[in-house]
Amino acid sequence: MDSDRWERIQAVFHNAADLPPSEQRSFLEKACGGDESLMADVAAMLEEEARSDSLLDQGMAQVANQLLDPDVPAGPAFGELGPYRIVGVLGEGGMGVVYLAEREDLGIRVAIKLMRDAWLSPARRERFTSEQRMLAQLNHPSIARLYDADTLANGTPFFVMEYVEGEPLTEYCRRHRCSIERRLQLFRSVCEAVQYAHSHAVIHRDLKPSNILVKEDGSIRLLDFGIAKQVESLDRATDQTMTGLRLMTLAYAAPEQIRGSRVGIQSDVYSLGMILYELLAGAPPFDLSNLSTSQAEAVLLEQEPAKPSTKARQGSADGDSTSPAVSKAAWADLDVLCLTAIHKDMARRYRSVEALIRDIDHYLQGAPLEARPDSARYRMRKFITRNQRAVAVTAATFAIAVGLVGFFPVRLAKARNDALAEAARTQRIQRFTLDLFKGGDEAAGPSEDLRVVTLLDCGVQEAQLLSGEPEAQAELFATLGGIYQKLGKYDRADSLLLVALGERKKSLGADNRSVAETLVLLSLLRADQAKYDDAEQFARQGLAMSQRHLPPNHPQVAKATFALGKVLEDRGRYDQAIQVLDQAAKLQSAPRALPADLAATLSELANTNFYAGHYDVSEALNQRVLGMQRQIYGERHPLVADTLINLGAIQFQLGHYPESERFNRQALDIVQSWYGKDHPETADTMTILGQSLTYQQRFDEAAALLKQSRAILEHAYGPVHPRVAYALNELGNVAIRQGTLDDAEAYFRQAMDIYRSVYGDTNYQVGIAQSNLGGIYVERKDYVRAEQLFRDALKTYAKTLASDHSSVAISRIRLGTALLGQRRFAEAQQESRAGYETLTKKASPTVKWLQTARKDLVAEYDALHQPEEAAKFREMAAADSKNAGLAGKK
Amino acid sequence: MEPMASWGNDVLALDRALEGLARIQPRQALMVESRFFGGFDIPETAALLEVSEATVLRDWRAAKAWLAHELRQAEG
Repeated sequence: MDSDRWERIQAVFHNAADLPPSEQRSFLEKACGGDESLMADVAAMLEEEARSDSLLDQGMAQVANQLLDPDVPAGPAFGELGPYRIVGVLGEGGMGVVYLAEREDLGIRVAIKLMRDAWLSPARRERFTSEQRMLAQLNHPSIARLYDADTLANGTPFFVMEYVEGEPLTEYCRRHRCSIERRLQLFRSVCEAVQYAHSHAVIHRDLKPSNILVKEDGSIRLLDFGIAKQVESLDRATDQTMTGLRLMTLAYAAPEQIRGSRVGIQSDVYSLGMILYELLAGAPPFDLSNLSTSQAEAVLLEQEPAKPSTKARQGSADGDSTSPAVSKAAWADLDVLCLTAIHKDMARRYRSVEALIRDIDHYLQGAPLEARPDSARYRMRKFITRNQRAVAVTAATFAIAVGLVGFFPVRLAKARNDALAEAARTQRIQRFTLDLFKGGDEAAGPSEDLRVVTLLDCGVQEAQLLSGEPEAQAELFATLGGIYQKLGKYDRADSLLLVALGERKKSLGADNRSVAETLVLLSLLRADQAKYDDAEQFARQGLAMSQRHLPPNHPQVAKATFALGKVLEDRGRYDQAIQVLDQAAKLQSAPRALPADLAATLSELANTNFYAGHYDVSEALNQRVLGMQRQIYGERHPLVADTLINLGAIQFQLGHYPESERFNRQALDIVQSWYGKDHPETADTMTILGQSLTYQQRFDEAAALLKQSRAILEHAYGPVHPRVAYALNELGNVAIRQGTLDDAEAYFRQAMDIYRSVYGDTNYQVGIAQSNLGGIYVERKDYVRAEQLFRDALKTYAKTLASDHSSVAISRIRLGTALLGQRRFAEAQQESRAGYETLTKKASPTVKWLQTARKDLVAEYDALHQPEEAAKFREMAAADSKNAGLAGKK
Repeated sequence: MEPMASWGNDVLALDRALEGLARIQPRQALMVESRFFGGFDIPETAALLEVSEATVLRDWRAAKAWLAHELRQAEG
């Protein structure tokens, strides 16, 4: 039925209903003019009206009272709610009642929010609980925990949350007469918490002072995260009907929320901006008291807010001195900052909470703001909105792109674990995109199984329509290219970035900051594609060009420096890479830089030091990074897992296998719960954990993990990929220890072939594979072939590694074994001893290779008739086997 | 809160019927929701929706008859 039809039915119904029943029939026949279904519908309605016994008549008052009257006693259900005991009422709002409850077995107090005008049909309960599980994963010191959510037997939903004693942010500032700096600091902590949630694809949607409490110790707690979304998705007639009923938070709702259109991270930016406004000016921008809902909506949608400075002046003129003292010069920046956050056009707001935080930092440090009125992005956005028919899909793609671009600079560092990979988790991105569509044109919206790549492809098509606005088009291409790169679609990324580069050169000239930025993006892509010459060339060009057009400490210069360091690291030029990354870290230690950028660079620096064999430096850096990341991202973030893996790798290199295992298990725990069980990230972490098990002789456990890992990786990347090679290498190591040499050889050869075809002959990974293959021939006592392979490995290393690198030392020890097997004692002794001396400085004495060297040296010195040396190593070798015995008992 | 169980099915059926109505005439659905779920009386509903009381009465009457019919069909 459509609305015309419904109008017609109603018209006939009203006319007929006013007639005496005896005349209704003949009236209907005439009025419907042969439209039998119309007549049947109206007749049925008349019949219902005559009965007056429907639910709507009889049950309504009762139902409404039951649902709405807070005096309806909690009844037995409220005395005990699962494990919680209700002890009092904390408050009542438009949406429900909040109870204070205790959980006696855990000794904690909780707040339980019971939604009173909503219920949940059984079909939706499952989704409700799955969403609440996601929210429960938000683990941030400034976000009140959501412990539980469920429904009463009758379907009434409730949420169990951390109970927070504190006062609303605005009141706290007023009462304590907080300075402007203190206000901004408090506000910044609020932003950080919201940013954290956004990076977990959770949008608050209902930020307001009463949801932001300051505890007595001055710390912040955000309440009700993501609950607004859940409340909106509860079973109700329609979403539209809610806007009328939800009066309480209108003042902080973004225009797009009021209009009922797409809600995104920028809606939270807006609400934050409104709160900031109130903190600065001492009052909200609009006085909505005494206005009806629709009048208030009109004000919020149409009126431009006064500058906060103006509002503050008005306030103090009225004798209301709740706003803090601010100098005239400072107001200029604060006005821009605040008005940018609450711009009615989403596209002109800060594109992410992170950008808002950056500008607050800039303000606090007296640096110029980033907020600029007419960016290319804004022009592009306007173009897209002008083409209104530009389908919901574009809008959503665009919003994702914009949302994700906000994360870009922070995470470029970690190709594996950035916000994009994070958001690309299929389920999460689906939910995220569906969120973006919610309230939009649902008929044009995506189907349930629409993947992010499909959305991106649509975005590209739409971008091609932007040919009239080359700059905007180039920006969109570059953005989309970056996303494809993060998703591992290198070919697609490649062509888009090249198009973007070409467009920018054509419209802006060959030498400017935009071209420089594109070159840097391309260099990182080339590095991912293992095309290192191109990568380095692009990085150097991009850096030089950025330096020419920007001040020396500009973030883009730091980013370009970082990119060059990363490329040098990837191609194995560690000394140069360390120098360059050090420089990037220095730039990013400047006061206005973001700690997350610095953490990313330090992490890369730690990696480079690791590869270069400087384990102590690497460990110290990684510990520092770990602390920073936990602070920035929380305990259970993939970046934290990454750093744990790095720390595990260091322990592994030092021969501390149980310590290594411990780090790796912590990492696997995080990664698995973040990405899911079948994700390549999980597979990689399994491989690494398998390695630390192998070296503790737990072969069956290790092999099981590694096979699982290889299957996941081959499925994800195809058979020729370094990650697959890495898993194969580990499978080979296990096989060799289990004595299945043919299997081991097959694994090592496959790994070597993959490394060769990906990296060429000079990469140290190829050397490791050669060295491992040599180990097989040692086991088979084919010492001649073993010798050849070890010498090949050393030749490969000579091109990329320093002579005192532990991989070099290990290969020399292994070469010693191969020579000993050929009874070439003098040469053998030379290799064993040299390798031994180098490795002793780098690794713990219990490392397997040192033990091998000692055993070999005993035999060699015996054969060379050097009894003193032999005795020295014999004694140490005896200690080794004693230790091995002890370890075995553990 | 117990009575809910006894008329729970009806309410769910009503919810579905309301969704249908909301698609073609959101204002009317909102009105039913305010009246039925919100417990608003006629003047309150009129104020909320910014329409005259007569319009509320008229819309309510038709919507009620229509929804009752839908519910009966749902019961089958």
